[in-house]
Amino acid sequence: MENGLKALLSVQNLKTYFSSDEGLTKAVDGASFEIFQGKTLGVVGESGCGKSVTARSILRIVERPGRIVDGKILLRRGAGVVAQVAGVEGQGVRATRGAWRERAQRQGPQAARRETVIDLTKLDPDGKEIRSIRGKEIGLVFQEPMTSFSPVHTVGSQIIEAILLHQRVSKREAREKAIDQLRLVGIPKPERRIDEFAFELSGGLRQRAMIAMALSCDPNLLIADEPTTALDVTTQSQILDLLRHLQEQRGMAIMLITHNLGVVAEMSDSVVVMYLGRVVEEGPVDDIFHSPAHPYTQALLRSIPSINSMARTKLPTITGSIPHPYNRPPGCPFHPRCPSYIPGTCNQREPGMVTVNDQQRVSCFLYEGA
Amino acid sequence: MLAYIVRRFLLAIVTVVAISVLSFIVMHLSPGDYVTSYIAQMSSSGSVVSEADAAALRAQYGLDQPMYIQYLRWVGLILQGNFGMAMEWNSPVMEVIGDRLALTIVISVAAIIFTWAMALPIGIYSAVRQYSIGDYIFTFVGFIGLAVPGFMLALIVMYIGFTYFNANVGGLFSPEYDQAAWSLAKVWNLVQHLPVPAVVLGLAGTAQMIRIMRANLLDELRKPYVVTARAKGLSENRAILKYPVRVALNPFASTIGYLLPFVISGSIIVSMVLSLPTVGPLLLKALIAQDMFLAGTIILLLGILTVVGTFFSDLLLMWIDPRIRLEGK
Amino acid sequence: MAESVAPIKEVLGDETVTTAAEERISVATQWQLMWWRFRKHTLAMIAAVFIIVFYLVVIAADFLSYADPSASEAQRGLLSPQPIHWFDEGRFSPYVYAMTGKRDPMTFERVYAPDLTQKVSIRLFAPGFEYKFLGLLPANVHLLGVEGAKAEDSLFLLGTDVQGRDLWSRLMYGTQTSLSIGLVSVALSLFLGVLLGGLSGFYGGLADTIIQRVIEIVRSIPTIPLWMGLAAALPKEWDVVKVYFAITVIISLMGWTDLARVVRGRFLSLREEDFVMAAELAGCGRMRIIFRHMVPSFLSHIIAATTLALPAMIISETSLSFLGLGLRPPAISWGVLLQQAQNVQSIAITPWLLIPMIPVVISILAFNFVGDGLRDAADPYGV
Repeated sequence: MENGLKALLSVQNLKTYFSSDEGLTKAVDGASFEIFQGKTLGVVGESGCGKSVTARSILRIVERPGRIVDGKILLRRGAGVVAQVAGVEGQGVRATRGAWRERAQRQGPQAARRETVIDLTKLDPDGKEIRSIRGKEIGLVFQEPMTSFSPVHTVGSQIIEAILLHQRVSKREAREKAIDQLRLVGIPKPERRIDEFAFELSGGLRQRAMIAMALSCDPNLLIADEPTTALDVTTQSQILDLLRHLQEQRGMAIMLITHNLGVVAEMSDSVVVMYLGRVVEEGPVDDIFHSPAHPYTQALLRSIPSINSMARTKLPTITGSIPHPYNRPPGCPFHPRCPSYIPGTCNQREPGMVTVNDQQRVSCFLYEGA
Repeated sequence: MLAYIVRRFLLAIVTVVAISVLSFIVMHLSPGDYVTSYIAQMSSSGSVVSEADAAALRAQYGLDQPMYIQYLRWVGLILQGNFGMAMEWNSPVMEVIGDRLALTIVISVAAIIFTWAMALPIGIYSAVRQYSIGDYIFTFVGFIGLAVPGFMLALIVMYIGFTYFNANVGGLFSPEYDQAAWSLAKVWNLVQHLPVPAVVLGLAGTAQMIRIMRANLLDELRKPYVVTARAKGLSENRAILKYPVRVALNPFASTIGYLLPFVISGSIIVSMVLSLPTVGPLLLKALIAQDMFLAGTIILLLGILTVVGTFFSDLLLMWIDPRIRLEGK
Repeated sequence: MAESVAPIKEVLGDETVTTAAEERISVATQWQLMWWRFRKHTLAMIAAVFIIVFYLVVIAADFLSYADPSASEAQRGLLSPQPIHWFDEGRFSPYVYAMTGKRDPMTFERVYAPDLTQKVSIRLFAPGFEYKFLGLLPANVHLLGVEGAKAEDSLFLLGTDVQGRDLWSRLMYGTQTSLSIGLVSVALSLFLGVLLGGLSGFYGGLADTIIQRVIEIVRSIPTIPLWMGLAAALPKEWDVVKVYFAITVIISLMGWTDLARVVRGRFLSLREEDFVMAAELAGCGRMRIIFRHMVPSFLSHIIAATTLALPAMIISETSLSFLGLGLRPPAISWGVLLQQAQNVQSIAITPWLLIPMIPVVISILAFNFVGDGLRDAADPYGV
């Protein structure tokens, strides 16, 4: 709960496990966080900490042999979402009142519908319900735009398909909308580009096209899985600007998954830090960056090279390496690498989430009982 | 795109030349030449050819020239449509071959159609439902096709047909149409007899195709664009059929180039067992009778047939793969 | 491999967490890793057993047969397989009924039929016709034999062919021939394939283009008509051995293309690898780089590809001989044996003549499965 707002998406104790002959991989092991309309949640962590699996779990597209074994993913649908946000003043809400009104208008007759909350974990992964959510209420942007587009279909046809799937429009109208989308994401000459193939576009344009496709049905939530990792720095900043701009325009929420702390600092309103499938710290971006609580977060921030640091000093790194998935340490997953390790406690029990600040929570024994 | 077509065309030409050389070599491998066989034939019917006549004949046919000149003359004759005489039958080669070449094409095409029609859905099913019972069953059937050589399969089929159905499943026509002139009714009769040869011929290739399709599709199914398709809200079936299958189809289509020579080869032996009036049995007879003109010509024609077919398959591939069309990066 | 599991070492700070299993993996050689992965394929393992059995037959064909494969006796012709009766009055003592010739009163032909009054018992390790084990040691012991009579006249486990020759014994020799031809042709193909594929992949450029085109051309020629032509052109006067080798060469000439492509592909991708460049920078000569650094990387793939190429060789030889263009009598191979079963009538009346089909199918399947297993085991990116 934030400022009396109800969350658009609430993930509660999500557990997604992969079982294979060699063992059980707990890719996501009890993650909980909330995403609010119009705000950006940054999800940070090293490779393999379960960020992508979390995103896919939300959309129920986890590949076999992965399964959601526990937890809830609550999505709020209906006009209540918009009305709620529209009633709130300032404070971190990055969208203008006008955008909210526009949004309500866009959602049209559906606005008259009552608000419902559904648990995405309970839906059939191939059923109509989840399919009407995918692409329409939740959009997904991937890391590698080249391989995320089909190599033998034009970019336009793939966007048009997304439109036709969720909106009752004719083919010609869909094509017009697709061209509009391409224009909105800043692709020059969209009428021509729409008929080109993914391999004919440059990296930056491809990612923009990817974003256009994800946004083509005006989703409430955009999940961006490492959207800039495969791009050069200049293109990266352009894409981030684009995302911010679109968010202001449409009032949508963004779940930004990345391992790049700089991107997180630039884009997010709140941050979730993940390690080995669990949320170790969460809070507003300023709190996390200026007063990180969890030793892992502190170590991450320490390891960012800074232009202000002294020359010829060793770059602080986190000792050790991520444990093998079949070999999780008992107790707190970070304890083998933690400088503040408390023997007898950290390797025996798992810490729960403790509130340290107004909205900052951390999962660490250092703060329990404090 | 044009560059691609030109390249494939040139390659086809070179292949045809290579085949013609090989055929020529085969034709002249056995000792003796046309005149020797002619003499043998004449003497078996009682007449004698004198040395002088033999030498004259040789000069007339250019048989005293070095090999490469003979080759060029032969090629020249062929380009004029003259394929020489078949010794045993004492008639022009083309007359003896007659319909058979066309029928070879017909059953080869039928076999390929069967192969594709079977391999495509089975391959897709096997990849998508990996390790299911259906997958194992189909793989098993596929393996039968792989492990049992064509002629054996033909033998078994004939045996079953004979013992259990008391039918002779060989041949491409019912007796009444065998020597008849071509008519619509004859064509229909042909179609009715096609299934057995097509299946027997196609089964071996089917196994290979299933494995190829399955392997390619398995590779594609792991790729990110499939996840994108699902994330857009496509149903599982639509997402798979529309995207990874379409991409996996490309290497699949390029296999015609390999399938065609394989099927045409196989048709030779299968035709023998099933007594099909195609080029196969004729080739065997020609070889046993040491009628090298006929044999060599058949080999040449089969080779050309294959090259033409492969060229068309290359065009087909170009049509369905945009990356080739646009000379993609 | 039983071994005690070392305790999980869990250390803080700079040391990493390892398990016993991980350690074993990290010190295993490439071949051990391959073997472990291969072991997991039950189908491939079963198939491997079959192959071993087959090659045992190749080595011990003489021993395993009980009748001289060329001993023909027209009156014994086309006898159906004899059933073995395992128990003689309650005791385990396998026997068959003797075949005696009687004159058919209607046709006055001599006909062989089982005589239910005469039992011929089967013995293990009985003496029989003379042979040379491995071509060197003269011997006359066979796996099976009969007591008190010549095996050629009494025992027909799989029936006889039209000339009265025992099919089981001929099948043993046929296996020996067919499988050894397969091996030799595959070896030749391998040689050609590695040579040309290696040249093509390693040197690239013009050599590559030319060899590539040649491979494409060879692949697009329908092979069987060409084989037939070449085989038919072999002089009739050549003896069995010469024909055998000629056929081998012909078959391998068409089969090298697949191997060449695999080798070329491997060389091409390996050429770009950093470790090759490192070897060059360290001053290794070309030959050393190829044989010591590159070849071990793809040796496993080559083995897999070779195993997969064998079935094609077997099919080629069998088909050619079946047509009468490959090996000819008195040589014995699967194809030669099957030649007797060429038309429906003979199959309908004497279906046991089709029995040689079974080892053909089994061996092809076995090689395919083992080859698949090897390929999966050699693939570092496989599951």
